Amino acid sequence: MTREARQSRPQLICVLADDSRSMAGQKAQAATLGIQEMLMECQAKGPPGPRSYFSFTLIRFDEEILLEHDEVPVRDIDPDSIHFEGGGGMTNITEALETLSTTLTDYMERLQQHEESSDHPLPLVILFSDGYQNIGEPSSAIEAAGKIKALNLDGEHVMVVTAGVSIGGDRPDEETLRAIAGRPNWYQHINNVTALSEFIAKVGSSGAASPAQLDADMEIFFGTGSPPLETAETDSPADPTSADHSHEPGESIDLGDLETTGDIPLENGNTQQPEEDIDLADLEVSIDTGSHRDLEGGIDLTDLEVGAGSDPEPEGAIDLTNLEVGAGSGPEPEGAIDLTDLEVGAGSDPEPEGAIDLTDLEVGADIRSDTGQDPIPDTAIDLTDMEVGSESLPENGDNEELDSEINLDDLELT
Amino acid sequence: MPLAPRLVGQVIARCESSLETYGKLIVESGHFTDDKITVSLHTDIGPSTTSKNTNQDFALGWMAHPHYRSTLPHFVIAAADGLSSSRGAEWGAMTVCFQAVSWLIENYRYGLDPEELSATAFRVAENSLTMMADSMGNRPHSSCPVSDFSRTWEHILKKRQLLQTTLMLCWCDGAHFHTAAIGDGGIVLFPNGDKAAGETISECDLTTSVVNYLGPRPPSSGTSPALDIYENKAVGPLFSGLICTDGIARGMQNDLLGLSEILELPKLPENETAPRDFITSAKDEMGNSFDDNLTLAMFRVSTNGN
Repeated sequence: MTREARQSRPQLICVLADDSRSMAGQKAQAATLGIQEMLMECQAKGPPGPRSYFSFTLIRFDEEILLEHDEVPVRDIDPDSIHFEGGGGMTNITEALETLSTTLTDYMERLQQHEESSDHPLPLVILFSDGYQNIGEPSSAIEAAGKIKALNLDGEHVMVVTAGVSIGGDRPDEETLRAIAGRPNWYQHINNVTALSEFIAKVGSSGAASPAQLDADMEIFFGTGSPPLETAETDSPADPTSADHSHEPGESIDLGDLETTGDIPLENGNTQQPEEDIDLADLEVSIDTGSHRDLEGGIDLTDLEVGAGSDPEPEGAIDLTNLEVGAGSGPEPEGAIDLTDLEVGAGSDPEPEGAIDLTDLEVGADIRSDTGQDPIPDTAIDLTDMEVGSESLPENGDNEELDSEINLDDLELT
Repeated sequence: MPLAPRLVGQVIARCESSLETYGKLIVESGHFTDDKITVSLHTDIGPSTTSKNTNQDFALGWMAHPHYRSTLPHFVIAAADGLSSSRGAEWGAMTVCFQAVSWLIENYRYGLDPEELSATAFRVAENSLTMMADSMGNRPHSSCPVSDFSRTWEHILKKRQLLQTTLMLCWCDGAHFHTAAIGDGGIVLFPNGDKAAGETISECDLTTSVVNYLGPRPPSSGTSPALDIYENKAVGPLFSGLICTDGIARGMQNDLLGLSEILELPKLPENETAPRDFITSAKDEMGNSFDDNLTLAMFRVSTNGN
């Protein structure tokens, strides 16, 4: 008996997604991305045409339960139609599981009659949540999950994988989620947004059609004993200025290198609210394919970027408030940076657009007027067309001296 | 895939023109016979119960006009099995068959080592697929299949999970029978007459769906694989054999010599439609076993009048 998804016997993937308020922001966006990636990967498998290798059930839950898709062939679902916001107030895992139990019971009865039932893949259930069930008792969720896990095909039971999402201070009910999972290694603790996207996309599109295959996949995806998916930092996004965030193309993801810019302090010292700040619009999680049935290698997060929208500045604007120019101002940029068309915007400063706030500008010894006496460094910054507004200059009288010493038309900064 | 047919059509038109200058072509199904050579092949989507709704196999036969046989291969057979996990694999299978055979014919006269000749033909065929994938990647909107969501198509293009296919290439120069393959497939040769023993040159690995392939590949997958098989077998004045894809091999549980007996290779000149007849029977009577795209090619050569 070899269970394997085919067009004639598609695998049912069921996702139970926590859409409560605590998921709002980066977690909801990561969940959105993960499910979109999962769908695209599932859609890509198999010959062309409407017949999919996978069908999809999506239940989103907060205090209410929404059966958004019910056994829909994945190729009928536009990935862009999936969107989570985290708008609900409560977390009702029990009712979500009971809803799924009802639909799955019917599905499994039909599966028993399928002419290829012995080769038919088992349904795969993925549940993720970042909180405690606050409607009803946790034991009721475990009981509802028990009904699902009792469903079987030729003695092999429906596979239930769970993830506890612990990001931004939220703590999932790990004990309950572990009990809901079909096997101990089918639970994952997740503490960063990329890991959440990755978990959903990888497990959901794995094609694991039997418990043995799922065990093998969990081992491949998450390692022995399925340790938590963790970054170097546990509950807060990584410092964007630290370490080297580059990835070689095709390199397996090192979650410790995830670049997240969500916690950049604003000038007023406040930390941006994660749910408002992380823009995952450009975040991409790609799954390399190959040796593992249709999947090959690890997750390639080369192009992954979390951030972008977190900057309150107008697009293209640069806040030079704290810019330090001159010796000791940090690593030199490689090669020349052409700032010819650079727009220096007001950002959060009251200065008019185009002005540079030189309040804190430190002019170091390395800046010279265009006398030709100093060798031109390799790493010059060409500020030829940079506009400096007179209003932005300090009003302490130093501005005249500054103007007389620096020809800003040909200013070069090292 | 609106763009893919156009790109494939361009490749095929150029190859067909070249191949028909020097010989006869069989595309997907048919046979040709003269007083010495019989080649027959057939490819089919499989039984109605098959899990596939597209035939991602492809087969091509080419036989040189008699007056070119001193300078060109006497005949060439190519069979390809598009990877079911790869989008547009049916276009890939078609492209590599045409491209590899035409390159082989066009460059045969330069006297390259046969193994190098075949390896280069495979590289040229793969380059065609890579260029097609690049072309579609440069125009994702115009290349997006009607049935795909644009974002999914961009995902596929980015992963380069398209047009991938296996390829088997066999040809005879009169004294030797050459076989080359990337990916799996079944090849049986009876090099010394109908009564001598046959040998299985290649068989399918039915335990895995992971195979080497030709086609675009992500940077992380490295370079193109070397040939899985290259064999150069001396043949007598009378020889015969068959080539099949994994659908046939799976149905026969890899007993390809047994398949040769069932097909009665010695009778091929009188029963030129044997591959088509066998596949029809397999579909009708053993559809559960032959539950895949099915491709079978047979050949028999007799230069001594037998």
